[in-house]
Amino acid sequence: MQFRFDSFAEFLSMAGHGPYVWACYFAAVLALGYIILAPISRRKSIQTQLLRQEKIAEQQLAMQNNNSNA
Amino acid sequence: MAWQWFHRLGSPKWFYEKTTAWMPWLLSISLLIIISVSIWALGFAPMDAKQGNSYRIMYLHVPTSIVAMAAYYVMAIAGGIGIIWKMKLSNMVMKVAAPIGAVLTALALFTGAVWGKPTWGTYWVWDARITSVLILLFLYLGVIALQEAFSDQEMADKASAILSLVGTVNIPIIYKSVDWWFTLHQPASIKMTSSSIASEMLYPLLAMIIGFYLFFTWALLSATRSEILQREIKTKWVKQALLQKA
Amino acid sequence: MSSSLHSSNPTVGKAFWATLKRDLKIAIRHRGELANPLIFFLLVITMVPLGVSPSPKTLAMLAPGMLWVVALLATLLSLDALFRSDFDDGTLEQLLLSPQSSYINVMAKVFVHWLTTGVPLTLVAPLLGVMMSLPEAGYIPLLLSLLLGTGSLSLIGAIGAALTVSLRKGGLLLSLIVMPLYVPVLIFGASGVRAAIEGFAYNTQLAVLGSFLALAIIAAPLAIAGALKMSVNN
Repeated sequence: MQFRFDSFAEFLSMAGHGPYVWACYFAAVLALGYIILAPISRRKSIQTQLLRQEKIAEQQLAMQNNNSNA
Repeated sequence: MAWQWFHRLGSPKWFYEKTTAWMPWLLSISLLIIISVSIWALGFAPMDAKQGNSYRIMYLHVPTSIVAMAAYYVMAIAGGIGIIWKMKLSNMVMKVAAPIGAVLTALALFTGAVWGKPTWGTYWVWDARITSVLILLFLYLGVIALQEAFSDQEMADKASAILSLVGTVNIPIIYKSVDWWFTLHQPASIKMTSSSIASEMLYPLLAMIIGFYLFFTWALLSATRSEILQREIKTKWVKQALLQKA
Repeated sequence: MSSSLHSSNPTVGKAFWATLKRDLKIAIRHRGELANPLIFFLLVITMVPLGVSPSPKTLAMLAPGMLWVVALLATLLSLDALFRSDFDDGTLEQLLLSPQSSYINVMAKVFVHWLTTGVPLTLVAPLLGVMMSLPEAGYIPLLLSLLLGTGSLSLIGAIGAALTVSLRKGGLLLSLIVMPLYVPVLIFGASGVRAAIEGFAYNTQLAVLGSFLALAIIAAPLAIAGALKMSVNN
């Protein structure tokens, strides 16, 4: 196991193939990141949706109670 | 008794509760494998004699292509189970598999094209494999578009299940046809040679493939869990599960 | 055993013929619509020399693929109407409820679609071949490959039509989901014509097209019937 490049600059340039290699790995980070985050953000939006519904239901209940008290 | 697990599997609630404990493990193990093999592939793998450093893309390209293809079969099998046994959960798996598969297919195409530039001197070649993967992407996009087009979820599930099953019958035929078509038009200069690969390069590749499969499993479970929450939002247990964490 | 076979056969045959006759009658009454795919075929082929080059050499090179691609597109355009009117007036529901297997009824409908689009497209193709400077050796294989291939195109396309019939704006979606499935037919159809032009035997391609058609006849009506039931039930 040894590092195959002499310097960091060489590691980045990869003897001219750097842009291609790095573009691919960058694209992979984006794609996997999207796959990871999409269900999480969806879950969040479902949660806020539910919270809003609960709030509305509570308010309606409170209003009904007020009306019946009066 | 023997079939109990099968019926349980049909219960979204059971599935959701059962998988909760696995999720962090699956994600961290798969990411650990993917990241460590990537570091190895970028910095420590020996340079390929013919292709130079560009072959380091192979560690991304090959696993994504394999998993992208497998995802289609997962989707179609889930769709088939959904049609035959009317299993709710199975339909959800089918629905969420399509976007994941499409993203992976797009990634496979992108890495393939970028890899092609330094090796073949062009981003796009009408090579048999590339063409097949492109058509696979179209099949995914078709299933997604069909799923989106219906306002009724039950119809959307049935329609996309039928389409993905038809696609499954077609995929081997498409692959064979494209392969046959390519042998007619193949310019001799761009032949892929993947027959001999040094074991030093092979083992990390195998590890990466396993890593991507694990990641796909996580992604599928995770997206299915969100889908369960959405579809079962009226039930008590979903409300509890969501409000607890809020 | 034999008596049950005898008693069931006539009804199945009758059902097939009844649907066939009815659909043919409707198709003939709407003659104008029948001509549309053909006009489309002609128009697009006219665009090719205008857009690419009028030189016979270039056109001859493009001809097999171009004729096949445009025939495929013309079939696609005709598909949206395949089940539409029957869906709207409820005939489709009756058809699927009838005691005869839906396989037979579906086959009859698709057969009429092929008779009214696939066959006419095949028959005009040589004419358009002249406009595209198709070399002489290409005409017979063009006819044969289109005749076999359009059958598969109708059957596969009908799956898409059945899936999207309940959607108001199904047309574009239909093309989107069906076109990838057309790839094998296009490859073997066009390459058969090309092989013949280049002086090679083209029976392999025709045989493969024939086997596609056989497979489609067996499997596609099941998917079509399933998709139609899905569309009608909701």
